[in-house]
Amino acid sequence: MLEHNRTNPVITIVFILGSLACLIPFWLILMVSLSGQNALAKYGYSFWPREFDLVAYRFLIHDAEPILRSFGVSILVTVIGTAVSLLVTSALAFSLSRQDFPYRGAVSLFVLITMLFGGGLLPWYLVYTKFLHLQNTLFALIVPGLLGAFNVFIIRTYFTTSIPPSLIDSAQIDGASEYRTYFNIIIPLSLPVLATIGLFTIVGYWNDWFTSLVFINTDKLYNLQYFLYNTLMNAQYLQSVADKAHIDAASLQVQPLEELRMAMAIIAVLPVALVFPFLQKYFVKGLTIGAVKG
Amino acid sequence: MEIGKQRATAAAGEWGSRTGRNPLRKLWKYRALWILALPGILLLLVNNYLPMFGVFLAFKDFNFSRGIWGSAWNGLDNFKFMFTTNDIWYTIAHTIGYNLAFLVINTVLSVLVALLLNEVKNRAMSKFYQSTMLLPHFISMVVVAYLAFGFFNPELGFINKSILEPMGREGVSWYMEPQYWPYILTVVNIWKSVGFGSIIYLATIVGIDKEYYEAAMLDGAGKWKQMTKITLPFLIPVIIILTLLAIGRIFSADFGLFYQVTMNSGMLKSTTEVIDTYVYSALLVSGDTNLASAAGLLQSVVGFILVVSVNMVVKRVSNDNSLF
Amino acid sequence: MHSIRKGSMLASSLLLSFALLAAGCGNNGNNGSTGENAGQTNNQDANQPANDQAAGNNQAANANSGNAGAEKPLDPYEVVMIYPDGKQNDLAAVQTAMNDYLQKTYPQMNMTVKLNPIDWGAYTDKLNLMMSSGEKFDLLWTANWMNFETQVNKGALLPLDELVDQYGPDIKSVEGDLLDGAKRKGKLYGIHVHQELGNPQGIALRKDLVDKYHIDLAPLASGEFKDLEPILKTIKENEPSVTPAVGPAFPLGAYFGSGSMESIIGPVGLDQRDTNADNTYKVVDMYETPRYMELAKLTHDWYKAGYINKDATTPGVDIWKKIQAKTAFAAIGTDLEIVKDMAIGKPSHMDGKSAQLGMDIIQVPMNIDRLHTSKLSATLQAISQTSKDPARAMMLLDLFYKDAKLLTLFNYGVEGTHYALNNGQIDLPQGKTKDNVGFYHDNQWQLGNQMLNFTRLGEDPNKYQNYEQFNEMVKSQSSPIIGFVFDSEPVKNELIAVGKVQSTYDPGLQSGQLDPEKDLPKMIDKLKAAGLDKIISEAQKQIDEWRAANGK
Repeated sequence: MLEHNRTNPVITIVFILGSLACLIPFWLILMVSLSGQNALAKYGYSFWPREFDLVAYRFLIHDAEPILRSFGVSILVTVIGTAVSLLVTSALAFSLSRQDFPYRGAVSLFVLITMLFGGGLLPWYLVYTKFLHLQNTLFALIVPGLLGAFNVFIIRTYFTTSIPPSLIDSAQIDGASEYRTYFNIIIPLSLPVLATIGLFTIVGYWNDWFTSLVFINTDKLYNLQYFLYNTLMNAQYLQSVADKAHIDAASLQVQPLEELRMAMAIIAVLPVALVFPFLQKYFVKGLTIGAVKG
Repeated sequence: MEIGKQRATAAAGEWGSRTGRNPLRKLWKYRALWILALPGILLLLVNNYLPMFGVFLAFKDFNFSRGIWGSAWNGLDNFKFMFTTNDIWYTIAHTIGYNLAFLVINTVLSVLVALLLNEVKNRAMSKFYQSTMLLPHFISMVVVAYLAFGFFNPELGFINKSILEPMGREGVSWYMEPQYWPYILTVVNIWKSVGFGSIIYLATIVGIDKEYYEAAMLDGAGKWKQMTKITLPFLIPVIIILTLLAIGRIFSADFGLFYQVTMNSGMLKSTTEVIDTYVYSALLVSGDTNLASAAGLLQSVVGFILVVSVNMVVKRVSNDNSLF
Repeated sequence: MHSIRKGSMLASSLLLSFALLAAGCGNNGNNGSTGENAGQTNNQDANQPANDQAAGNNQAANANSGNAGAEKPLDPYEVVMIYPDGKQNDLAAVQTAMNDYLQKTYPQMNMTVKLNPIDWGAYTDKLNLMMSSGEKFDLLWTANWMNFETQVNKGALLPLDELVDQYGPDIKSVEGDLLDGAKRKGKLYGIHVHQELGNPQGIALRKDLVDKYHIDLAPLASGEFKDLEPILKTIKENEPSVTPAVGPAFPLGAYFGSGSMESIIGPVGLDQRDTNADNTYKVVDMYETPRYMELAKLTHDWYKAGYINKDATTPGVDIWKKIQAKTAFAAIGTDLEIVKDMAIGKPSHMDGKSAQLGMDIIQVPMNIDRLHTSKLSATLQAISQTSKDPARAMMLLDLFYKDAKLLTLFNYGVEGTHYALNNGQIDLPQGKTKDNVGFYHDNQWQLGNQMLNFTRLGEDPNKYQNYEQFNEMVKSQSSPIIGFVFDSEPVKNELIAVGKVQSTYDPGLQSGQLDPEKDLPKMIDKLKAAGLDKIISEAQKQIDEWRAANGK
């Protein structure tokens, strides 16, 4: 192995190009968000604006209250949701990982089916509003994302492959209950997979706008992505409405500036980009996938 | 994975002997495991199983004032809209074609990138590459659509304004020229998903016991031989699982990709129409959500049948690699 | 990982878990009946107001029929209004002001309003879900291009004929016969907002360039777009960095639609340019009319000559921004502002647009709408079938047709806080901008009698007089099938298929990119394959029946 201590330069070049390809679009929207409106109309989008203008960000700061609030909602939902989700998902995965768990095959199938069949929008809405009465609460934003079958299986696979059963066995011979085994032995040993799934969940919550659209009617509880979606979509939507209703779209005055949309996109991406490097080191270890039957 | 499984089975044997034969006693004995599993099971029940009653909507003439149960049955009427013209067949062909292309290209590229990442010796650089390539996976399609628009906007976009025009070439009306879009959508899809896929495979590669490679090197096997004889066989189970899951969704396209990224431009439909956008635009014309129920049911049933049958084939070839 | 796909429905595991599914159904039995007996269950759901409902209804009836004798006040009722709007920070304050005003001015009605705006981007989805789940609300805004037909067909709206007779005297006196445009299968399902009855379409030009090149606008009096060509040529030759004309759909959009066709549904309608009197009621496909071909060719020629922009049909392109950035000269095929003494080919200053863009814009009308039935359901207020007291909802709606003060509160907010009057026009309070005033929208077209409104500063103070004058002009040229409403139920699948073909070809034809001589026949073939002829014969059948019934 000694002779291979340096990376092949061809590989390095491939990866540098690959990384650039992934970063460049973000750079482009960042630069558009910093461009002046007239320069945009004249010269188009470019990687280095001819005229810098912070008007989009100034506008965002000026109208900061709703953005900050939606930011707060997003963070709250993401933090609580991710914590509860990890607990519930890993607990289910723990039971499923135990070969001696009665009916584990049936329960596995029960979980698997949800991966192939989902709920429809309307019945799903009815369950949440008529049965659980969660509309217009933060629960409506949290509960839908709590458990994903895919995550259960990833965690389950990690438990069966990376935690020696003898460890569980000896703990239980020492008189540890299942709960203590789970909390004191399994969880501390599973940081890589929990970090990985945690990041998925964080991203899932952070990027979710649809639940907000469906269940939230008060702007106090809008999350950031919905706020962003709304700004982006309103512009597109109003254009078509204006044609049909014979009204002037501009007079509806929700038409945001190009650079404002881009600035909002940047703001939405930022937190994910920031939290990402801290969790990234667990990724490779945590992401092992095994068959459902286990 | 294999090794872990063996150990687990061995352990299960020991526990099994202590358990006794009475099923009720067995349940009671494992009540703690049931209690741990319960919150998850309940969530699945609420989030996934309760809404399944919606399947009936596909066969109903839904009326707001009568509700789901009170509305009249109308047989297969809700399915008819899909088959009024022959368009549905090329739409289905697109859906399957794109999905297969994405599946093959993404798998090949992801495995390739994973193999190459494994060859990067500098750990910090490796982490950096992983991070940047994973970033697009975390961006919502709405934002991706705006990124793409930044490039393809016919009058202001980067490609026309900063590449074609300086070269003295006429700008292309990207959102009106269907021939480019199979490539554009494939590239966008690669951009968004290969990073994630490669990390999954890399995870498996990293988990392979180093002893295999050392033994191979002692036998004089070169890099290529190690890759094809050791690494790939370890990756096959993962490839099969992910492929099976993808096949279950082969009739469903990524709505965000085909709707948002194309800006739903009508002129691109001859190459970009997929079942999900087809249904959505039908909804825009008629406003009748039962159509979506019907189409969704069709997609899931076909996907389900495909998964079960492909799984059966896999099982016959190699039982270990089947999904269930 | 947990994803919910919009608009897409899901399926069961028929094969696998019948038992589970059955369990699911069992649990949902309660749920289902909620929808089934929406009215009843809701009564139990919604605490006190619900229990008083029946009583309230009767009293409402008494109050109005007895009129003077209605001393006994109605039970309090909250009318929930659903309409699309952007976010308004001061919504609560405006709602309170409206309620104070209602309490003070109409104590006998004893009602309050709850304003429940929904974001534009979510309006269709959310409204649909609210209706499906039987949620209680009263007034909603709807339109024929916004699922009105589906809402009627699926029983979401109440028939209003009796309600408007009993509680809507002002609605009837303002709208009169125009209400009939929202009748479906003989019953009234929506109340038309009193507004302009049509629009002028034409050209908007930058005055600076018109002056610079001494452009003569007189030839446009012909009302023909081809006479615009020399003007575009002048600009093309002299101003290389300026696109001569930009537009959303060029002449093929509203100009062709309104000036050449009496549309019935989709691409099907009556050809207004067919001079043969026998063909007045003959249903044809618009793509097969000579006029369509003529305008499509013109558009294609302009596209080739570089007279029009290449991104015309790219979504999200804002043509006015191009004009403001001075990269474009004229906007064509767009709706124009309604001014006094409007006439085809007569240039006038575009006040609103000029103020908005900060530059002088001239408009030249090329076509003026006739009165079309479809326009009469293009913006409506309806009452939800989940309303607990439809009578009260109608009373409130009626107020918006007679009480300018109430309407002003809804449209402009609270005087002094959200607006100040400046010579009888609406102005922003001192030191406030549109963005920070807390309540600013232009939703006048969504509710009530628009003619009661104030105008905004910068608009023609006589805007609404101009509207009335314009309406007379529109009404004087009413469509031969005014009052006819097509029932699309028998051909709904064909309409979806035809709509698909249209969405594929329309952008290319309207932007000039496609060569009509080559592509139009292809499109027509596809339309026929999609069932166009069935739609045409169904439309012809319904037209003939309608004529027989109405003696036309």
